[in-house]
Amino acid sequence: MKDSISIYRVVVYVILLLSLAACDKDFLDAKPNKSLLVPKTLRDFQALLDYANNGMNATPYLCEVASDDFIISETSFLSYNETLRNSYLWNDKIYSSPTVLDWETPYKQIFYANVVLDGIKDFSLNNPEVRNLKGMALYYRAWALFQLSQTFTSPFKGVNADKELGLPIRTESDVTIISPRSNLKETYEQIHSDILNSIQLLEVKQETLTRPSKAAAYGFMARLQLILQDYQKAKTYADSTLLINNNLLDYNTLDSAKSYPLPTIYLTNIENPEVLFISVLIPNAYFLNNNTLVDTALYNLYDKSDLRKILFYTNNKQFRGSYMGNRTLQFSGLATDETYLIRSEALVRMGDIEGGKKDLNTLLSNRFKKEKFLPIDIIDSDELLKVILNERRKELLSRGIRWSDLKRLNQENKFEKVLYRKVNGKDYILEPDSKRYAFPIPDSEVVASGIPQNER
Amino acid sequence: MKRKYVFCLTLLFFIGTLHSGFGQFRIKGRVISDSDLQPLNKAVVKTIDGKYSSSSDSLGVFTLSIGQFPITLEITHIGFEDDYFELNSNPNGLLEIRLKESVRQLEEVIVSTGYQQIPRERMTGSFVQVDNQLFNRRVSTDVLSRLEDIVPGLVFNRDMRTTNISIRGRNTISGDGQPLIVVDNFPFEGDLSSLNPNDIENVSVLKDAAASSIWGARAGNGVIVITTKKGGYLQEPRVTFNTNLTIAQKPNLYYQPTMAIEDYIDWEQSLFERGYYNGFVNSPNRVAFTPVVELLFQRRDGQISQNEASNRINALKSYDIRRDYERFLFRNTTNQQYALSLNGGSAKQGYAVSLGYDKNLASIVGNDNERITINANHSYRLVNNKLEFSTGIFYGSQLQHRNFIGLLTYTGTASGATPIYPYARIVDENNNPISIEKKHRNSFAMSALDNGLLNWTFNPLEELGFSDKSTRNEELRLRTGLNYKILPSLKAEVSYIYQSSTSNLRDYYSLDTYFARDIINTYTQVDGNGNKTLAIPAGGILDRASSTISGHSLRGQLNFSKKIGLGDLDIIAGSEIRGHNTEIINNRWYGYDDEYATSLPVDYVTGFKSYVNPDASAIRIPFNEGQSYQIDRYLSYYTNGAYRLKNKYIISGSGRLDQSNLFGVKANQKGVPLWSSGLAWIISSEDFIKNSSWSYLKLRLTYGSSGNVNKSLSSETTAIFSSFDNLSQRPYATIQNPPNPHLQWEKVKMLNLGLDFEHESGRFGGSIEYYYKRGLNLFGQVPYAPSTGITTFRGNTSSTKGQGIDVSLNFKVIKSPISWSINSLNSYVYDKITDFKMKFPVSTFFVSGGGGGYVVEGKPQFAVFSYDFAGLDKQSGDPLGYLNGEISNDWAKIQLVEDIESLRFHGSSRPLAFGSLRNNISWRQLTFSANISYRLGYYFRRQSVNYLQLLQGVQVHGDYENRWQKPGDELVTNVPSIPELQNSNRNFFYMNSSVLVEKGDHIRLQDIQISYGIPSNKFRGFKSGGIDIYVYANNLGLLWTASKTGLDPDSPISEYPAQRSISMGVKFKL
Repeated sequence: MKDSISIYRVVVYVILLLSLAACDKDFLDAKPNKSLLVPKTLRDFQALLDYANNGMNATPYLCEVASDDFIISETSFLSYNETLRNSYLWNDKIYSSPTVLDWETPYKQIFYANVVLDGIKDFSLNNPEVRNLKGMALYYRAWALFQLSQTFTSPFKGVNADKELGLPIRTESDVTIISPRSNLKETYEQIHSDILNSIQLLEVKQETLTRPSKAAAYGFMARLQLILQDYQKAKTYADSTLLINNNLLDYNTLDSAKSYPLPTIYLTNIENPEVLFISVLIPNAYFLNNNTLVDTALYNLYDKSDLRKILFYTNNKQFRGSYMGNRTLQFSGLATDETYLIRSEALVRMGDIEGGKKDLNTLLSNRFKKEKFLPIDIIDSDELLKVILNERRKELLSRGIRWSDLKRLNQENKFEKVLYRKVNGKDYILEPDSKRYAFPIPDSEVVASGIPQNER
Repeated sequence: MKRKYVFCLTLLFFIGTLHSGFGQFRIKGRVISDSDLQPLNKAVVKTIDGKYSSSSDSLGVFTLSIGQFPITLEITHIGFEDDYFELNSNPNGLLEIRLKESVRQLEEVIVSTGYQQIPRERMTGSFVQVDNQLFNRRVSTDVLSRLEDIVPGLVFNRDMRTTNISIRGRNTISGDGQPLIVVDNFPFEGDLSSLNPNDIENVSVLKDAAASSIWGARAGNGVIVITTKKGGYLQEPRVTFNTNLTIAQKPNLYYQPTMAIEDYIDWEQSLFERGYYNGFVNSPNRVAFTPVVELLFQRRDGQISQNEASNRINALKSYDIRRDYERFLFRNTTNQQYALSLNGGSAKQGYAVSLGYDKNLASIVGNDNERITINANHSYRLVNNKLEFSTGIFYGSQLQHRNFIGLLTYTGTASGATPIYPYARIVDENNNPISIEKKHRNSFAMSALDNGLLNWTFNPLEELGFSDKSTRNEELRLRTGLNYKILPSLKAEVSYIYQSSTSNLRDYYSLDTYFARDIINTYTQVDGNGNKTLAIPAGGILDRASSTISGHSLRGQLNFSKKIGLGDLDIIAGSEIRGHNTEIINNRWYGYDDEYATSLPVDYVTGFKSYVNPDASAIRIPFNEGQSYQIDRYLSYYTNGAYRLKNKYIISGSGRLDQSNLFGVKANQKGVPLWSSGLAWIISSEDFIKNSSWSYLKLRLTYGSSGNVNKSLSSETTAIFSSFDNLSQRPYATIQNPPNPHLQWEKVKMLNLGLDFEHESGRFGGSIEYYYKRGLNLFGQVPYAPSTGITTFRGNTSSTKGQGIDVSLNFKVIKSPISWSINSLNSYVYDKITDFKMKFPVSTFFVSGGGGGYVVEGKPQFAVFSYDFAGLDKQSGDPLGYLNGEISNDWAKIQLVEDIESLRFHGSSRPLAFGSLRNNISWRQLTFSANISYRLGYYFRRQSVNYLQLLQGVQVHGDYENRWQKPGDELVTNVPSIPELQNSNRNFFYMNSSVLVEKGDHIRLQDIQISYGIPSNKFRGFKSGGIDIYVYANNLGLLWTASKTGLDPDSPISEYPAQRSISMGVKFKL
C-alpha cells in the first residue's frame, strides 16, 4: 500500500518535472537577432538592391589607372600603392593583395541580383512592383558582367569571339555551383539578353537614380552596341534613351569658383539633369592622390573657350569634373552626354554626317562659352569621327569608359594608339594589340575555381 | 535602485545567519595526520549526540563549544579513518588528535559535474578536481588563471595576442573554442572577471566526452565547473579575512629589438633625398611629418641653415621615447585584494557569506579597475531534513577606467596609424608636457589655429586628464533550489537561476581632448567669405554604451539511487529550459557639457565638407546610435546513470537532447542528440590482486559525443537590415549568409582510456589517460571562388582527428620531519585536419597567420608553414627561395604556388607537449612550493624588418642592423638588403620564410609560493584560528629556450612579455 502511494507520488513528480520543458512551441522559434532576416518580401529584395555604396552601384577602377587619360607626376610615383603602380605600368603581375575588388564587387552584384531573381520567382509578374524589381535585378546582373568584361577579357572583335575566353556566367544564387569561363561571345550574349529583358520590365522613372530606369537600360544598351560595333542598333537605343531624357546641363550656368562646380548629387538633392543612372568607381587611392593629373596632351585638346577646361580641372590639373560633384566619388554611371556622343558617332559611321554633327553641336553648345561657341562644320567623315572620338575623351574621362574605347578603337588602324609611360627614367609601352588589355584574373579565383588565367 | 535592493537583500542574509548556538565550555585542539604529523584542514569534530560541531582550519586547529562533560567527540576527515575521543573534563591547553590515513585516499574525492556530486571512485570519465588549497596557491584577481599548470590537458594558448584556454586541444575551427564555464550548476553567461577567486570552493574540469556530454551541445571543448563556498550544517561560525598586495614590474619596452634611433634618422634623411616625402606635401589628408623631415624641408627651403639643421637633427638622436614612456606613461602594476568571509551552520541551516574588494592599478597609466563582490549562500533543512531549500545571491560590481595614453601612434606618410617616431619627446628639458605629431602636419594645425579653429596639436601628458572613460559592470545572480527526498532512494530537485550582467560604458571626451578638438575642427565649415560655422558644436562628446545580458534558467531533475542486486544504481534524469536576452544600446551626444549634463543637436543627414580635405566627398557627422537585440534559447532533456557492481565494476551512460532557436532551420534540425557510455574496473578490489603492492588500481574506458553550436550560421539566405545607404539614400540590406541547406551541428567524439593508481606505501600515485577524438562537421571558414559572389565560405568544412595523453604523478619523497612532495603534470596532444577539400592560394594561409580559420588537410589546425629560404643573393642581397626546386628570386611566382607541399611545414604553433613540475616542501608551519612549467614541440614566427614599412618611413625591427649591405654579407646574415622600391612580394616572401620560424620549446620557472602558518595558540588571550602569511612570485623567468632569439616564446610578437610580479598576503582565521 505504502509503495503504491510512493509510486503515485513519483509519477506526479516526473510529470511535473518534464512538463517544465514542454512549454510553448514558439519558445524555440524566437529570432536570435532582431536585425536578421531571411529575405522574403518585395521590400526585402528592394533593400538588397538599394545596397548601393560599395555594393550594387560600384564599378572597377583599375582600367582607369591603366588608361591614358591620367598621368602620375614622376616624382610622386612612390606615394602610390603597389597595385596602382603595377596597373599604371601594365605590369605582368598586378595585385599586391589577394582581395581584388574589381573582380569581387561585380560578382557580388551578380550574386545579389540572382538572390533577388530566385526570391521573386513565385511572385506574379502582373504586379508592377515585381516587374520593376525583376527588371532592376536583370539590369544589375548585366551591368556587372559588362563591367567585368571590360577589365578582364580581351577586346570584342566579332569574329572569333566564340574562341576567346569570356567570363564565368552566373544565373543562380546557389554558391555551391562553381562556374567555368564561358567564351567571349556567350558573355556578351548574356549581357545583351539581360539588358533586353530588363528594358521590357523597368519603370520609366525610379525613386532614385541609383535604381536603374528604362532610360538607363536603353543608354546601357547603346553603350554595349557601340562596343559590339553595331552602329544601327547603337543609334536606335540612343534614340530611345533620348526620347525619355534629352536634357543637357548648360555649363554656362556653373560657377567655376566653387571647388566643385558640377552639381553635387551625393547626399544632397541637387540634380544633374543629364544623369540617367548613378554608379561610381570602387573607392580607390588613385583619384584621391593629389598627384594624379590629367594627361597633358588631353588637356591641350580643350579649346580656350571650352568651359570644361576650367570646370573640370583645378589649377594644377587635377580632375574635379566628376558628375558626383566631388573628388572621392568618381561618377561611372550613365548620362545623356554619353548618349549624344554615341549617337553622333554611330550616325557618322553610318554615313549620316549631318545627323552626327547635329548631335555633337547640341552637346558642345552646352559646353562652350555661349558667346564664343562656333558650331563644328566638317564634311570629311574621318575628320569628323576623329573630332567626335576626341570629344569622348574630353567629356567622359574617369568614367571607366576610356579603357573600353581604347580596346574598341585599337581595332581600326586609323585610330589605334600606343600607350606610353616614363617612370624613373624607364620607358613603358602598351601596344594596341597587347594581351595586357585584359587584366589578370585574381589568383584567389583561379585557385579556388580552377578557371584558366588570362595570358599576359 | 537595483543596487540598493541587492544590498538590502544581502544584509538580510547576513542577519539571518546570526542565530546559531554556542555552548558554555570551549575545547581547543589540533588534528594532525598520524603518519607525517601534518595538520589536517577541515576535519569535522562533533559531539556524538550531534549537538555541537566544529571543524579544523588549515593548521588543523579547531575550537568547539560544548554544554557539559563527560562527552565523546567524533573526528572525521576525508581520507582518514574516523576517530573517537572521550573527555571527562575540560582539558588544559591544546588537545592533540592524530588520525590514521584510510587505506584508499582517492575514494572520497567528490566531483561536481554541475548536475550531480559523484564520489570520484564511481566515475568512469575523465575529471580533474582542483581543491581549495591548490586553487589558492596562486594569487590573482581572476579565477581562470589559477587553473594554469594544475590541470593536466588544460593549456593557456598564447600564440595569438589574446590568451585563451583549451582543454585537450581545440575541437572547433571557427566556432567558439572556449570551454563551457559552469558556476554553481548553471552555465555562466556574464563577465567572468566579476568572479572573486576567494569565493570559490573548488573547480572540476570535465575533459572527456563521458564527463562533458551531460552538458551537451556546448561542451565540445570541455567544461569547467566552478563551485562557490557553501556553509555546512553543524559547523561553528568561521570568519576568514584574506588580504594581499601584488606588485608587478613595469613592462619591458626594450623587449622587441628595434632599429637604432640614429639609423632611423639617417634613413629618414636618405628617404628625403630620394624625394619620398615630396609626394605628401600636398597630401589631401595633410598627413604629419616627423620632426626630422620637417627640419629637412626647412633646410631645403632655406628657412634654416645647413648647420642648424644638422645640429638640431643631431640633438634629436639623443632622445628615446621609451624613456618617457617609462617615466610618464607606464608604472608598476599594483593589485590589492581584500576578502572577508563568514560561514557556518546549525543543524537546520548553513550559510556562507562573503565580501570582497579588489583594486588594481594597471601598468599603463590611466587604467585601473575596482571590484566589489558580495556572495551569500544559504541552505535550510525542513520537513525532517527531507526538504532542503537553498538560496544564493551574488552581486559583483566593477568599475574600470580606461584613460590610458599608452604606446603612442601617429598618422604619417605610411598608410594608417603607425608607432610614433622613436625620438619623440613628451616633455621638454624642464619636464613640461609638449606636443607630438599626431594626425596632421604641424603647419596645417597652426594655420587652422590662425583661422580661428581649435588647437589641433596633441599633447600626450596633458591629454591624460582630459577624458573620463570608464566601464561599470554589474553582475547579479539569484539562485534558489529545492531538493526533496521523496523516498530514501529518490530525490527530486528543482533549481532556478536568474543571471543578469550589465555593462555601462561611459566615455566622456571633454572639449580639451584631442578626440573632440579633432572632430570639431574637421567638421568646421568655411564659406566663400571665410565665415566659419561649426557642424559639431564646440563642447565635449559623450559616448555611452550599455549591454545587458539577462536570463532565466530552470531545471527539474530526479535522482534515483538504490541498491539493486549486488550493486548500486544511480540515475538522474531531468530537463532544463534556459533563455537569455542580450540588449546593446549605443548613444553619442555632441556639445556635451558634463557640468549640467546638457547636449546639443547636430545634423546627421547633410553631408559636410571636411576642413582637412574640402575636396573630398561630403562627410556626415558620425552617428553612433544603435541597438541590437539577441535572444538565445535552449531546451534540453538529459539523463545520466551508473551501475556499480560489488564496488568493482561500473557501467555508466548518459544521453542528452539539446534544442536551440537556430535561425532559418526546420524544427527537426534545431536539436542534436548526444550520448556517452563508460566502463570502469577497480582492479585493486579484486581478490587476486589483494597482495600486490598497489593499494588502488582503477581502469576506465569511455566513449561518447558532445557538441558545439554556432548560431551565426543559417541554412537559409540571411540578411541584415541597415538604416541608410549613403548613395541610394534608402534603407538597405546586406547578405550575411549565403544559403546552406547542408548545415549541421558540430560534433566531437572522444574515446578515453584511463588508469588511476596508488602505491601501498602512499608515496606514489597518479593517473594516466589516453584519448582519441574526432571532430565532425566542424564549422570553418575558407576562401571561396569570388565569382560565386562570396569570398569566404562558412559552413561544415572539415573534420579533425586527434589523440593525446595526460599523465599526472604524485610523489611523496620525504614524509617527516620535513615533508617533500612532487606533483608532475604532463600532457601531450596532437590533432590534425581531415576531410578538408577546399583549395585556396597558399599565400592566404600566411595572411591569416596560420590558425585563423584556414586549415590544411593532414596538418594540425594551428600549423606553421614557411617558404624555404635559400640565402641572400650575392649581388643584390635579395632573399632567395625555391621555385620548382630551383633557387629563385621570382617572389611573385613563389607566392602563387598552389601546392602546400612545396612549403616547409614546421609543426604546430601550439605546444604538443606541456606540463609542470611542482615541488612542495614543508617543515612545521612553513611551506614552500615552486612550479616549473614546460611547453615543447611548437613553433612561432618571429618578426624582422618589414621593408614595406621601412620604405614608408616607419621605424622597423632591430634586424635592420644586420641587413645585407655589400657582397659578402650574405655569408653572415639572412636579413635582406633594402630594396629599391616597395616590393610586397619580396617582403611577403621574407616575412614568411623559414629563417624567421623559431622553435618555441622552453622551460620556465613559473612561480614560487612560500607560506607560514602561525598557529592559534601563539596568541594567548586572543581566540584566533591562526594566521597564514604568504608570499607569491609569478612569471619568474625562462630557464631554457630552444630559440636563441632572446624572445619569450609565449609572447613572440607582443610589445612586451608578462611582467614579473610579487605578492604578499595575510589570511586571518577566527
